[in-house]
Amino acid sequence: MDVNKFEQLVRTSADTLYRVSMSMLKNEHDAQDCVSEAILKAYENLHKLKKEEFFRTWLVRILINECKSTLKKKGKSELIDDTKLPEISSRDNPYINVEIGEAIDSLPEKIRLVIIMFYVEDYSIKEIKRVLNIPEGTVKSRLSKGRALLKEQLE
Amino acid sequence: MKDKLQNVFKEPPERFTYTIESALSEARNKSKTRRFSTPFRVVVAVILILAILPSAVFGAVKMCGAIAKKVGNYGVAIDININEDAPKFVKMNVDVPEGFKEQPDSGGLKFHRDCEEWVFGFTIMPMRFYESIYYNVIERNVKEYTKMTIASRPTYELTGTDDYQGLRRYFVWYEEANVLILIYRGETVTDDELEAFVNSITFTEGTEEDHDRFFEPENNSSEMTDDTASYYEYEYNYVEMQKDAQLTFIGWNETAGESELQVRSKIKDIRVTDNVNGLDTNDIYPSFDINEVADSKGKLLPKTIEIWQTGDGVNTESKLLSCESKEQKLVLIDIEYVNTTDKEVTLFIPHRLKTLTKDAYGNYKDAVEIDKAQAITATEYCDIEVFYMSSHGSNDKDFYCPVIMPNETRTITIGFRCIDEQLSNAYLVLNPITDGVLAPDYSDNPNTYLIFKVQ
Repeated sequence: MDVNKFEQLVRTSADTLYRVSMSMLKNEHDAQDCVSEAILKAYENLHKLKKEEFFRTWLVRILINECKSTLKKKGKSELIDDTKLPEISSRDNPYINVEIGEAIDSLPEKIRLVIIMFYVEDYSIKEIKRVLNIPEGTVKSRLSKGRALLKEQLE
Repeated sequence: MKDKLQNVFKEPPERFTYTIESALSEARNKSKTRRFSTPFRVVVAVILILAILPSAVFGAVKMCGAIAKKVGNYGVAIDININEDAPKFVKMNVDVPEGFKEQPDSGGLKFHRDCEEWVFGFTIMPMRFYESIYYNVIERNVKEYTKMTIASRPTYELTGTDDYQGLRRYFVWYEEANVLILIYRGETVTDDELEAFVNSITFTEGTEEDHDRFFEPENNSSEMTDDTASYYEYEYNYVEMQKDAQLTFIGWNETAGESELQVRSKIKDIRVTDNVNGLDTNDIYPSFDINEVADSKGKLLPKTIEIWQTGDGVNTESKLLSCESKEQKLVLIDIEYVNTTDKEVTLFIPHRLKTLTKDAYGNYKDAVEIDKAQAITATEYCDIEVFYMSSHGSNDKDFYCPVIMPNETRTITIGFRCIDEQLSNAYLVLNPITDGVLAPDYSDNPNTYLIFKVQ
């Protein structure tokens, strides 16, 4: 894959990069850093990508790893106390619908990520399995748990 | 559910798009740098080690954009756009000429005379570049050379100040494979033998399996295969050194275009304090704010250590097991550098501190991995990068790159913070490849780290 193709694919993945990083980090500044780092890492490791068709999932996986390490550095975890959601400034609020956004944010991170990938990004269960490197059963159980939690919140 | 969630996100703001464009621009710039100067420097450093230490053991020699590694035969490949005439993956075959044989522990890169085991014959270093730009690489980076042909192959012989310890060096271009080979020629090797040796190297088309990559996958690797993701775990080889061990670092001089300059060094003293008073705050790594690392009397502030048990997020969730504030100390290590050359030498000092414990078999393990089986880990006990570096001269390039003047002996103090109760497990850690340690040589394993106990 040449540089031009790489740039083109990154640009077409921009929305996904924004949504995935914001849903994980809830902070635009951190999200920008992680997206930037992920793009550079992807470029450096482009030779490892065996098939172009996997570019988007591959790039998103790099991004997820970046976000995870940022969370780790900050001492956060996927365990977010539902009663103590962090204050989110309007700049850091990626959602159009505040109510649904809050419901999504209230999900544990790992479940939230699967929900976003499946419902917003249109990833198949197989693709999510590849990106997150978790068994198919775990994807399904996270989806089902996420659905149940969201239903509770939104109804 | 899908209807509700599908359009819940806003469009990415313009500043986000700007971030992406900036990253793409940086990637483009990196690609330019990598094509020309960096590979050459890395190659020179690696070759130096090979040339200076004939007994060096090399299982794998890596460099940017190219690889020479024993994989049955030698895989030499990069799987990005090379000119269309050259195969994407190639295997290098050396049909050793009569009178020579391969040095068994050389990773297949050294050949000596059959009858005289330690007489220098040939050392070779294959390099593969992204494009047919070998002449650019040579002409931009090598001061003096003579163009010639050997066995009808375009060749540059390095001359003048590039002459190295009497060994003659040749860059030979194998156009059919897009490979440039640097050949070190022993003093007793005749022109005919050199020609026979150049002829003995051939390339055949390889497969992806013959290829190994410069960037080794890490844990949580971003590498994807069709169906699964691959995970690798590094096996670190820690070699504990005596505190007074003499080290030789390689540095460079950009003005003179030299990257082979050596500086000797030795640890002179290791001190532990809990106060930053007396330290020049300009020598503290710029990202630290002195007011956030020490109180008004200069005493280091404590560090919060969290201990976590990582879960899978559904059946088992991550649990914060403890969170404690721990007193910190500052480890100051005085290292004396002696520049015996008549040139300024720029060093790169990315040393780090690490806390390690020994298991029942005497193997080192990361102290923060409290219970690997139970996935219980702690946040880092110490600074894993330099916190303080003294003696910044006006010529220094940046925080990590002091410039040692010709014939200068200079003591540089580097400092790291570590929680008090882990000081007994703290080690100064050097990686021979990234820190440019030329000697002593333990480079048979690229994951070797030289460690110096702090207390």
